[in-house]
Amino acid sequence: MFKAILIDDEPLASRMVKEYLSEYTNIEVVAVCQDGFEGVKAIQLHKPDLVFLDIQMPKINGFEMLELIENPPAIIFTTAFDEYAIKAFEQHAVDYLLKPFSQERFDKAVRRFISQASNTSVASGSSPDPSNRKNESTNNSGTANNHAANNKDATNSSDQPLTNPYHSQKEKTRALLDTAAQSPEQADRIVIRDNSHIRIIPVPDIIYIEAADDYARIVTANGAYLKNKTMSSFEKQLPPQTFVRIHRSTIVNVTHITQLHPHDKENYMALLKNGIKLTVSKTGYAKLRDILGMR
Amino acid sequence: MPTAPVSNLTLKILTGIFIYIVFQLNFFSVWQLGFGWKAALVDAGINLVLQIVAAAVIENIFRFYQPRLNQLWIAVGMSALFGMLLVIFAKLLIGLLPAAADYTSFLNRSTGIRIGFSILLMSCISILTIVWNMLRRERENNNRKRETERLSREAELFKLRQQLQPHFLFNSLNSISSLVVAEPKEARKMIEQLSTFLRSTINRKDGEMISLQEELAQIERYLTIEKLRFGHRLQTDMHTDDNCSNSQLPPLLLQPVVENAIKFGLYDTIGDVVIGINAVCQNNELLITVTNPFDPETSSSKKGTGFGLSGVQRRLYLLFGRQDLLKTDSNENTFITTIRIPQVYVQGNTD
Repeated sequence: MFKAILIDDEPLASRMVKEYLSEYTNIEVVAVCQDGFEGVKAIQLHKPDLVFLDIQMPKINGFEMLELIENPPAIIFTTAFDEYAIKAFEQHAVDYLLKPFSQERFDKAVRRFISQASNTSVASGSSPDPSNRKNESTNNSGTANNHAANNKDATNSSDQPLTNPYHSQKEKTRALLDTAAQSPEQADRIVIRDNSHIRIIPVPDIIYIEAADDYARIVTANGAYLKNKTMSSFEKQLPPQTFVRIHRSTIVNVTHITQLHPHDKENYMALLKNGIKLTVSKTGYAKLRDILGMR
Repeated sequence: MPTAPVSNLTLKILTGIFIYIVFQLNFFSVWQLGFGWKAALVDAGINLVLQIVAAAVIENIFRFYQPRLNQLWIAVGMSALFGMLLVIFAKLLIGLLPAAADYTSFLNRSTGIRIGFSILLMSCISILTIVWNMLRRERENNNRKRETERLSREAELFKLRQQLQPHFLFNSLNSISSLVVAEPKEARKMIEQLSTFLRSTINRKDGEMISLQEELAQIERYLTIEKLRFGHRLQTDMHTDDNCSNSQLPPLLLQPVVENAIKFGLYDTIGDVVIGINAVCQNNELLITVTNPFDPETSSSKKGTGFGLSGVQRRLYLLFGRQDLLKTDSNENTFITTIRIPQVYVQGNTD
């Protein structure tokens, strides 16, 4: 039995997905949410196997919601018209449904999920037998709509141990969110989860970001927050005129820098308005000089 | 324009051929008359140099000066005069050189025929240059016109796409699709609303003013569809003053303001959203206020002036020449957009 959650701000849209899903006796809808906040809570509570996720929703969009979830379940995106979202889907070959969609198209997506999910459970089970794999590849050719994904999956299952697809799914989601974060809608804010609170931080409020193990620590005047996102994806998302990667593990908002002076042979030191000192690498110093010199 | 067949190079080659033919005529005539090839070469050579200089002068003049059709003959006449002067100048130059007596007398006798040839040559060159330039200019104009047309077509297409609002359209269709099985009557009602809305969006012309009633009816259709999509989350509160019955406003002006309010209200807050639309008429002005809830903590101030509103501001400026007709304001959790439409100007415009 699979658990599914529907997240869409339009009740009628969720109703249709629910109706389509009623034909599947092995999928149970455990929650229907109207926004990302409810979505995060419901996913934490129910730990679903599958989520139908709309992109444009109140407060935080579908991608931002997904960023807040540690181990995202399988996602089938549903959206009407979002240029950036569709670009992100196409680049990362995730399955997505363009509204309005037919039962046939919906079934295709769900079958794809089921075949992938059973594949993963086989992997966690005792021994993968070749006949199952063969079966899977025929299943895949049935969902002809996503050639790129199929090819990718096919190579994954043949080249690597079968425990890997789950891992690569996570990587794919990561790459997808990185692409989506470059949309104009998401360019001016960062969504973080602070215990049970969800905060939306306007980009200009960020003073600096530093790497902290697998996380990034976002420092603002109101406090510091952790987010599970890489420095390089922050570097891509934030406006390059204001946010400079001054060190392998630091990105700084240049409007907060008051002084810059040599520290040791290799490095410089940046003094911020709030008194904090940050190490600046040689290449970081060159970037800073370029940007500050232009002003 | 290198691709045009009427290029400068072709013009120069044609002029060159003319001058070369005259040079040949000149040289062989003098030679045949028995003055020796040296004298013939000097005679024809001096004429050649002068003609090349003259042709260059003509070409340069007409490059910057395009005579109107009724002035064409004046231009050609001037060129003829120029040709005559050229011969006299050539004669003076040749006279400077030492020459046999019979050659000098030949020079004097042949002045008439030389002038004839020179006039013919110069007139031909100037006519050729003028026609050439005319063709080229026309070609350039056509290109420019095509380019302008292409740009305006693109702008129109963009506008059309904006008007159709794919996001709204596809989501509405999705809602209808969802209603079809369980509530076919509702589905039919929504299809009717959507069709009426789209029809009047397409039928609208930019230039004409429309009545406030008509615009509000259109907005009501839009709101009905949005309410079906979002259920109880979206509520509206519309009010119009009784004395506004004759008010007019430019089409597609209020629509983006309301769309902006809905988008802002629905996507910036969680929970129920009330959109207020209030129309008042005073001092020959139609004053429309649109309100929507927003979250001051998360809305960056940049969004406040609204992406969708800059187009409205621009249109108001183009129509009335004033920058102060659109205002945005906010208090606590409410965002207020106010537009003023001067009714005096409106009547003046419709005449």
